Formats: sequence, structure tokens, C-alpha cells
Amino acid sequence: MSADQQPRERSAYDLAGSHLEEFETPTVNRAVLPGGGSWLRIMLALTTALTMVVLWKEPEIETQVWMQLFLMVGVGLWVLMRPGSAASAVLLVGALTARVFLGHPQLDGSLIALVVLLPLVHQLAALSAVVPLRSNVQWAALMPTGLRYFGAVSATVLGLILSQLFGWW
Amino acid sequence: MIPPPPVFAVPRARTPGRGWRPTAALYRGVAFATLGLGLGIAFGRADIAVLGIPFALGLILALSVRQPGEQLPVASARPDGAVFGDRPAVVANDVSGLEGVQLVSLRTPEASGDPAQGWTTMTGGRDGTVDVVTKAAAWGSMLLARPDLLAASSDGLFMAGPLLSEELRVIVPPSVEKVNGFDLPPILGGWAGEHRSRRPGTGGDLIDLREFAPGDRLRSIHWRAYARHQKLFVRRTQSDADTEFVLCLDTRYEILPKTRDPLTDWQRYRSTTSRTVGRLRRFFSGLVRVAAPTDGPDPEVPRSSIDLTVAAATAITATQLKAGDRVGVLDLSAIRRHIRMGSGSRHLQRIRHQLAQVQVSRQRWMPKPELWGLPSSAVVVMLSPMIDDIALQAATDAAGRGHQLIVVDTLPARALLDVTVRDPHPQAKKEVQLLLAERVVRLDRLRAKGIAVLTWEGGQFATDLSASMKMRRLRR
Repeated sequence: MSADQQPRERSAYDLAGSHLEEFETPTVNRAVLPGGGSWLRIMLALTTALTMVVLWKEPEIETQVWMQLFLMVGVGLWVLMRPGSAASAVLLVGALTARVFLGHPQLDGSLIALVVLLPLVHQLAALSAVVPLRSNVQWAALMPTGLRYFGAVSATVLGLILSQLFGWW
Repeated sequence: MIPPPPVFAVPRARTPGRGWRPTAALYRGVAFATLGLGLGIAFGRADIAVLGIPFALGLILALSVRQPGEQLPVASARPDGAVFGDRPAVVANDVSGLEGVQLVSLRTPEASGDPAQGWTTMTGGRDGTVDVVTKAAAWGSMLLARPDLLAASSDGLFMAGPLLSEELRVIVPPSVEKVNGFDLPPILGGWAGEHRSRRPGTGGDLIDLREFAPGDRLRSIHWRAYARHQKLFVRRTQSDADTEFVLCLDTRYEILPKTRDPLTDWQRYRSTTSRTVGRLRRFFSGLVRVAAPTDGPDPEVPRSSIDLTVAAATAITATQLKAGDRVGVLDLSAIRRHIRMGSGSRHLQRIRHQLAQVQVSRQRWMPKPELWGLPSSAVVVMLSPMIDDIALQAATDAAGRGHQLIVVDTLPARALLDVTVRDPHPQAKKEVQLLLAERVVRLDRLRAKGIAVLTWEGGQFATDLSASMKMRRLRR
């Protein structure tokens, strides 16, 4: 039997292999955030860092600077590593406590920043706890949380602005 | 001993969750809203109370939407279309029971084919399907997917899982690589095929001319001879023939080109660093695009002797069946699991399915050829890495019993030599060279006996066996 030089038709003998026609790779999930779990954690890290910056108080003693930094970095890492743990609660309660004892009862930029950032830390930590790190995420799965967050925060900020306009502060 | 190639394992979840349960987010939200509003009222500080308001609003909004009932989500995976070896395959993950669920994270297979490492988070609300493109193993029994899931209600306040799902296992038949058929010397068996026969009859190869006699077919008249001699002559041709092939697989050993563990700390450090860099590269590329599987075999994945044996057996089977021959398969380590002679495309499917389940044997012995049950007229194709004298003796005995024998060498010799360059053990190269030198002696002894020895490693081999087999006939 000699080599088969004739162009061959597809037959049952050509069921698979390198001589098959090109395979059309389907793209199924178009509205997908690649590495969505990682992006959630990156956002959580940024939000945590911003919250720390807002809460930063310039101490008079250098040792306090280091202690404050150590606490902030420690809590931030804890939040990132275990978003489903009590870390976020520690961060939020810490922020609240700092505001109670070190803050001033006035409407300023730091208050609005905290109104925006603290619920964001809470929501991102909640989502990060249920979305695996390397998961690709459909945008539609995050949309309800985003809308609720936006609604709650914008209502609060709007209330603050209105109260300022009415002179309640 | 090398583990069987294309079987993956999915790590089990540590503590599978039962039912819906509140998460830390629910407790955190309630506590912070209460604490903020409470402290604000207690201290008379509006700025503290304000911090609790978005939490309270968020909780109210999240809990006011539909919550999941008692029913837990269920996921199952199925292949969407046929699964071919070393090619992209679509796995459809069907998820049901998603009423009141905001998002579900499914364990989905990765583009590289690993069923455990990928995750996809889909939206809830109603039943849905997530299609994931993965890559099937080259051949064999493969765990394609196990869609474990983790479900969360609105804002992740309640969660269920991880819930374990059924595994999706498929048998991936080996791909058919295109090879030329064996060009055998004239044979005496069969009546209709593509081989030459020593018997006169209807066929293509001219023997000579003879005078026309009543009863001869007009189309066999040689008109040029008539023009020269003014007498009618007809062509005498050799009959076409088909034959039987028995593929004997030597699965006693699996030789895989692979480097061993590093010896020194520096080598270990380099190896670890290289792995870490690879993982980081995959992680960062995963942040910008969803990985797509490559089409075709991965050059980074070494092919073992069993891989080459299966590939060669599939290619030979497909080619010879297409030529009209009858093919049977015999695993020499498990001769009870043989496939009888057969022909046709269904027989090819049967053989591919059987070859997909070939594994390296735990036994190192091989029965003698008289126990193989070979038909007397069959051409025996022995596929073996030929790394010991047992295989050599079996081949010699089979040829000595009068069978036409073809030995297909399935040792990945070139890949073995390439790997020794990177092997941290200094003696690795010498070990491989010694192994190959012993093999060369064995193969030369086979050739000296007139047995055709072909090498498969390149994916193709010379198929003109006439020369080597003619030499054998002359020796007789």
C-alpha cells in the first residue's frame, strides 16, 4: 500500500487528531470580570488603606507613630487575608472608637470620607468572603450589592449635605 | 513507577456546609449600625450616629429583597459536545435552586485542564448554566469537572456551602494521528485489500502478459502489445490482498522524560523561584483576561512511553482499518483484555475506547508468544520501549514462530536525552546513555534477524518494510 496522496474526505476514521478542521473556541462568558475575586481584594486593600489614612492622627511621640503604623498594617493585612473573619469588624469598630475619642463633632471631609469608606470596606469584605480569590466574576453578580451600597451611601451623604444647608450642624 | 497520566484530583472541601447560615457580614452590619447609632445617641454625637446610618440602610435594603428558602442550590456538569484529546472542550455547568441567591461561585475547570483550580462566580435569581472552556487530556480516563459551589444571598449576609457536586468523568479516546500504511511485501492472505499478493488475480501489479483466451475480460487486453504483434494479449496481475494485524502493547514500564528533585540548596532555590514566578505570572495575567485553552498538545508536557505506545497503536489501527485490513489489540501485560480482530469504523471506536484505558501494568512479566493466541497469518506489530531483554526475547520468539513481525520502538529517547541536560543529578546523562546503548544493541539484534524496527517518537515512521523483510526471506 502506498502513501495516500489524494485529498481525503472527512470520514469516521478522522474522528479526532491533528488533521481535524480548526476548532472554533466558543466565548461564553462575555460580561465577566477576569480574576474578579482578586480585584475585590485589591479594592478592599485600597479602601482599607484609605480608611487608615483618613483615621491617621499625627502623634507627638515617635513611638506612637510606629505603634499606630503597626496596628494599621496588621489589621489591614488581617482584613485582606481573612475577609470573612472578625478582622473587618475590628477595623470598623476601631474606626468608630477613634472617631468617638479623637474626632470632633462636626461635619468635615473626614466624616464624609468615613461615611463612604466604612460601608465600602464592609461590603467588599462581605463579597470577598464568598468569592474565591481566583474566581472570574460575572458583573451582574456584583451589581445588586453595588446599587444598594450606592443607594445607602448617597442617601446618607445627601442627608448630611441637606442638614448642613439647614444649619443643623 | 510513574502514576497514570491524565487523571486529576480535586481537593475535598474541609467542612462542607449544611444549609443556609448567617455570615460575619450580617453580624458585622447589625453590630456596627447598632453601635454607631447607640454611641451617637449616648454621647450626643451626630457624627457618630451618621456613621451607622449607611449600614442600617444597607441592611434594610439587603434584607428587604427575596431571601433564599430551605432549598440549597444544586450544580451538575456535562460536556457540551464531543471531547477530543488535547483539544478545547466545553463543560456546561447547570445550576438550579437559585431563588433568592445573589451570587454563586462554582468550581470550574481551568483552561489548562485542571478541574480544581478555576472558579466562576455567576449571578443568581434563576436557574442558569455557566459554560467553561477547558482542555481535555491527550487520552485516558479524565476527571473533567466537579462543580462544587458556594452560594450567597444578598450582600453576602447568608451563605450556603461549600456544597460538593458529582464528578464529571469522561473517557478521552486517543487522537488519530495521520500515518502512511505499512508497505508490506507480497502476502498470501485475503482477497480484497490494498496489499500486494503473491497470487495471480485481479489487482494492480503487473506480472506479465499472456495470450488472450476465451473468457478473458476485454478490459484486460494489452492494446500496445496487440499493435506490436498483431495478436491479443492480456495482462496478468497480482491479486490485491488484505491481512490481519495484531497490535501487541508492552505496558510493563512507563518511561517519562522528567527531571528529578534538586540536590543542592541553590538548585532548590532556583526551582522554587521559577515556580513562584510562574504562579505570579499566571495570577497577574488572570487579572486582565480569562485564560483560553491552547489547541493541540502542550510542548511543555512530556510524553511517556505509554503515551507514544497508545498514539502509535491508534494511528496504525486507523490507517490499516481504512485500508481494509482487520486489526486486533493485545495488551501483553493483561492478555485477557484483548480486542478480537475486526474491521470498520465501529471497530476503530472500540479500539480507541480500549486504548484510552491502557495503564502501566504492575506486573513486570510477559507471557510467552505461544500464549498470545496469534492467528498464523497475522502481521504482529509489537509496540514496546524495548528497555529489557524480556521484550527482545518475546519479539524473537514471535518472529521465530513464523509471524511477520514489526517492532515499533516507543521510547521517547530524544526527550530523555534533552531532559538530562536539565537534570540536577550529574550521573543522569550517563544513566540515560547506558540505557540507550543497551537498547541499540537489542534493536540491532532484532534487525539482524530481519525484523523491521520502526521508531515512533517523531510521530511518523518509515513504512516501507519490504527491504527488511526481504532480507529475512533471503536468510531462510
